[in-house]
Amino acid sequence: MKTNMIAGALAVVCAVTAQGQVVACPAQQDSLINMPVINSSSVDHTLRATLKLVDGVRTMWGPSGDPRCAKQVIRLLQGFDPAHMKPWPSSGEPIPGPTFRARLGDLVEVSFFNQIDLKNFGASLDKGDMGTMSSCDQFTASTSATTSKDGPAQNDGMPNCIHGSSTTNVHWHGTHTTPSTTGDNVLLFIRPALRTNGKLRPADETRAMNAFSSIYKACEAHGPPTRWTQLPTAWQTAQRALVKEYDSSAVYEGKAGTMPDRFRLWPFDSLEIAAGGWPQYQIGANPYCFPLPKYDSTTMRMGQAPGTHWYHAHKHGSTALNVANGLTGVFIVSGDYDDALHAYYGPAFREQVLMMQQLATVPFPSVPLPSTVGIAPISINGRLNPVVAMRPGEIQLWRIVNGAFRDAVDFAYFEPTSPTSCSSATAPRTNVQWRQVAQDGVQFRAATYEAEGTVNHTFNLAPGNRADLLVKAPAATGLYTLCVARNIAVYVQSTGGPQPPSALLTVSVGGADMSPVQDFIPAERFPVQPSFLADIHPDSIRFKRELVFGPAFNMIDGKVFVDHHFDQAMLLNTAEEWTVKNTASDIAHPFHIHINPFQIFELFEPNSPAAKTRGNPCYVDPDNPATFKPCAAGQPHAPYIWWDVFAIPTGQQIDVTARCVPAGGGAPLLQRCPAPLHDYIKCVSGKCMEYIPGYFKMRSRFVDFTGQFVLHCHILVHEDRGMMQLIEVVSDKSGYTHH
Amino acid sequence: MPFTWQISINRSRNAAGYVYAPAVLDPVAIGDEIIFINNDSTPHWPGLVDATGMAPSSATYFMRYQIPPHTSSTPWVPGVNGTVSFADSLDTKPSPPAGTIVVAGITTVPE
Repeated sequence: MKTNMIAGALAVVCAVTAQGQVVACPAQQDSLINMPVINSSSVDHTLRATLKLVDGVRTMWGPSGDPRCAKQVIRLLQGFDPAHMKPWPSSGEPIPGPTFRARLGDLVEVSFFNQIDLKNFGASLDKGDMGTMSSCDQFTASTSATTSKDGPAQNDGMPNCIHGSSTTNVHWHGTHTTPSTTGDNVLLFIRPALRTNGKLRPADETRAMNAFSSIYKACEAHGPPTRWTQLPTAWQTAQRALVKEYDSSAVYEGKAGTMPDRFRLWPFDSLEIAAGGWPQYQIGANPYCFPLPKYDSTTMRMGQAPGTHWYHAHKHGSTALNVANGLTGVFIVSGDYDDALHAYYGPAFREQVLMMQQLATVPFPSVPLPSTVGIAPISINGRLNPVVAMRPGEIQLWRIVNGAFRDAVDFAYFEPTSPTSCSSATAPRTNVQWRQVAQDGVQFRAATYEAEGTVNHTFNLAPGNRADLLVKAPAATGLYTLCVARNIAVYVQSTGGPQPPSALLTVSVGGADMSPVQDFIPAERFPVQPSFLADIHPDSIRFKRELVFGPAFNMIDGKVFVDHHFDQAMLLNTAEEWTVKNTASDIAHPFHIHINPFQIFELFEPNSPAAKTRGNPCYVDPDNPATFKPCAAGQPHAPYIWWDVFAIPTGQQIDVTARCVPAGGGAPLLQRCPAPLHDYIKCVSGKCMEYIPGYFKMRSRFVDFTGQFVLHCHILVHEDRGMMQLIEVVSDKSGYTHH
Repeated sequence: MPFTWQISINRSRNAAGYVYAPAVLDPVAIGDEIIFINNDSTPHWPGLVDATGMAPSSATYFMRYQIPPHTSSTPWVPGVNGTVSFADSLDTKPSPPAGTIVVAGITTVPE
């Protein structure tokens, strides 16, 4: 019997291998993959694309400490240009979605189809009882070889848990457009297309394409729709039928067609439609149509910034998992900025589009992993440590997107490739050079280029951040490794912090020398920043507010995301000043807000080396609140950089319980804590903690577009689990008259 | 991050009318997710087989609910090393099809 079992096991191991599940890991230092590009039409200035979300088998690698690589079934994007239909690459590599290229003033028309085969993934529902684990993705874990136990993700509750894992939408990250209807609308839940006998129904896709054609014509003529009832009746009818069909057939607690009314989607859609709103739940497809507004001072307060933007899945509860699956793509908006760079460097000027990803099928471990196992590695365009080819002395424009669902990446240095690359503190690092020219899709001004975009100036790219670099190859041919330090905080209070540098990519310098020799563009020739990106003047600030992230991983201002509740409301066409604090001591939560970028003008880092060094003028003395202030060195300077993601500096947490116990003993009381620290201490459950939050101060304009959207932590598991706020920009006009 | 594995429940011409594929899943590491995909036209409910080889009790299912036809289960996550045998609790016939999951830690895969 035992022999038979072993034989059987061996046979199945072979079968598993034959199925292609466990495989040898792909070799590193293979050439960089260029994602397929879909360009907007130069004739009618419209970006037309079909974006399909499907599932397929791709080779994935294990985290650090796990040498396995495996064929995994993942959700993935495919893109098609209707004017030049080409099949999507069928290689086994988990590449991002297509790169979109449009110009300022263009219209975006992207037909999105969710055609995931639900059967290939764990069961998951969209709705559940608020605050309960009723529809959170459940898992069962073994506690021994003979027992199992149900276990949701820690103590999460709806809607702040991993759920609806094959339901998604598209966030057009970095666009300045409407957050409503067919724009950058992340409140949509687009479920997978329904199937009959396991097969997609072609008529559903045809019906959608026909309806979208009409929707796009209207959008071209009048802009995005403002009401659902403006869409073709046939589409409204079709969606109603599909949502109802889903409601009546969905599996609930192991049985099809038994979903309780309160979990059904159509009742909520119908309420939204009746109220003049946009139905939240849709099945199978959604049209995205919105302009990329070119600044016009007569009609707009801001325009779309030309630069490197991106798109990714953003459905609350599945954002992390879907981005971890690779539902990301680069969205380049061209304008005077890159025109000027191309004009300066000439026709041979090359761009590299680099999408960093942290690919995984599980966003965080369900059970404690062995201590030797880390987290998912950072890949670029579907490969680990790929090779970028450069000619000696060549300068290229690198458009880098951090599409990781968790990690920030600190760009440290290049060094000649060797077996010890990234491990030596003394290796020569004057070979490949870079200068940063844009942040988060917004070009620097020339003064910023000179101050911040200095040669090999290190920078930390948090998840969601983008950076454009001019990269210069050395004259000497060879291989050069870009060493980066992954992190979730550059400065932490105690343990943690950046990992040791590791290889992100390799530059291969070879071929003919550049002639003439290229150098970094001088400041006087640097592209002129559009006027609408001038600094926000302090005198224009209408309102100030404060947000506090942490100390819990899923809370802002002491609470998790609450459905249907606005946490911030801003008046249209006003400027505000926000202080965004972080009370976590080990995680620099990356703050992200949609639609409008912001400028940081003050930074407080209580865990910086200077702040932790006694005797340093910047020392933060936990007993002296007067020292809880920014250090003059390292402060942002005007003209300020525009961001749409910024990792909030970590804070300090000091246990002061012993200093708060009454003289006669007993439970600690705030009144007994040192009086100067009262504003910084919280006493809960017999413990008193002093919090010295890190923070940044920013100014932003909430202009041009009203509507509902979100701010959140861009460590996307935190967002899914509650570190998000629903916010709204409201009109500054009233329809009433009093004369 | 952990990997995700699939075990399909496929229709078969054997006496039981179905089979697990693969019947032995190996190697699996602690923290990996395993989902069952029911390609059969009847529900299935795999769970751990106890020491006597009997059908699983309610405390030892791989998932809280049975898997309807043509759908997938919620994940099962091994939390300890060991060899896990499973069978279908809805199948009351003698000697129903069985399967095994070998949780053996992370081992080096030949390049």
